[in-house]
Amino acid sequence: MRSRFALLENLLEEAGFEVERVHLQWASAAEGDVFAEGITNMVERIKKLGPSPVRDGD
Amino acid sequence: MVKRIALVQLSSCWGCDQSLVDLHLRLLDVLPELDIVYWPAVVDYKLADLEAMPKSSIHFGFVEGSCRTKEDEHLLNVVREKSKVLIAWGSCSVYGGVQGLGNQWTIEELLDRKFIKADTITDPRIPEENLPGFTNHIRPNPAIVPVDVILPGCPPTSDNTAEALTALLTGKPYDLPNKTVCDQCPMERKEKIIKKFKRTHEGKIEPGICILDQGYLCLGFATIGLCGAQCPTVNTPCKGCFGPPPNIKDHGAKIISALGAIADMSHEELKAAFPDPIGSFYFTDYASSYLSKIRDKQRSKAKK
Repeated sequence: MRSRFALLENLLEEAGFEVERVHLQWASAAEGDVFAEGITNMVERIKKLGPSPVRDGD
Repeated sequence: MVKRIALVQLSSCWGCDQSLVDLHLRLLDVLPELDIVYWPAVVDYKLADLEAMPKSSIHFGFVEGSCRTKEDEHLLNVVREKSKVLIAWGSCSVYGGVQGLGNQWTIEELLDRKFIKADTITDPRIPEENLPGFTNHIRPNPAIVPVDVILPGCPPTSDNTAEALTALLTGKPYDLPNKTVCDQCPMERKEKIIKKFKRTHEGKIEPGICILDQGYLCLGFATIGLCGAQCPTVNTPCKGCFGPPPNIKDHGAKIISALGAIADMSHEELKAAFPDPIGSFYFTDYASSYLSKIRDKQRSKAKK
């Protein structure tokens, strides 16, 4: 899975997308804290980046 | 009844016509059934001749090439209007073709690179006079007008075109197979564990053994089996020019998914192995990929 993700990141970057908007995280059902931390980090990162230039609407 | 046929060329290499003409004497099997009403590659017809024909008066309209110029778009719309059955013929027509790789850049960047910054140019200027103008990006023809039959290939083999044409003439359905190039390939396959990907000029490809197993990027596993595995059969890796089989939505995504499973390499090595992932994974079909479509939308929005 990690290998696929590495290739996907490569592809996204070449196609001109912000790779920071994509996040891959493993968390088992017993790792609520890991999951929550991953989500919090991603939200913080995305907020800094601002709205995606490719999103629909407005 | 003799069927009226038009063969239309948009921006392309016209290789699909070459492939059709390569039917040679077998052309005689189908030609008596056909009345060629437009085929500028072979017969001297003008656009005005096509424009003057009544609506839906052509039985089969074969369209080759994609819309890089505004005239291409006009021609595509005209042949759609005049044809009962419109066939997207060849990978350019179905997916946008090699020129779809240009969608990685804006049209301004492309024109600048080609007409202003190219090394061999002494009098740099962008040609505009007496020309139809360029389209902003390449879109596959089925995204521009409704298309009834698709026949990919770069080019479709003579047999592919003959088969599709025969099906059309006899009123049988023509559907693309869900098999891949690997299904047609005679090379011997073993378990795939790839430690290093090689470029085709590195080392020597052993005959008879699966080219992907040998560490060369051969895309037969993700490519529709229509060509009869012409390239791998002669020790040349499949570049995926026929595009994916119908059950695969995105060619590059499928390729990444498979490569991730068979590569026994670090992420850095894997990234370094494909410095041009778009050119490697979407040789003729980048314009029909999700990435290209999202990017085009983004650019069109930015222009408004």
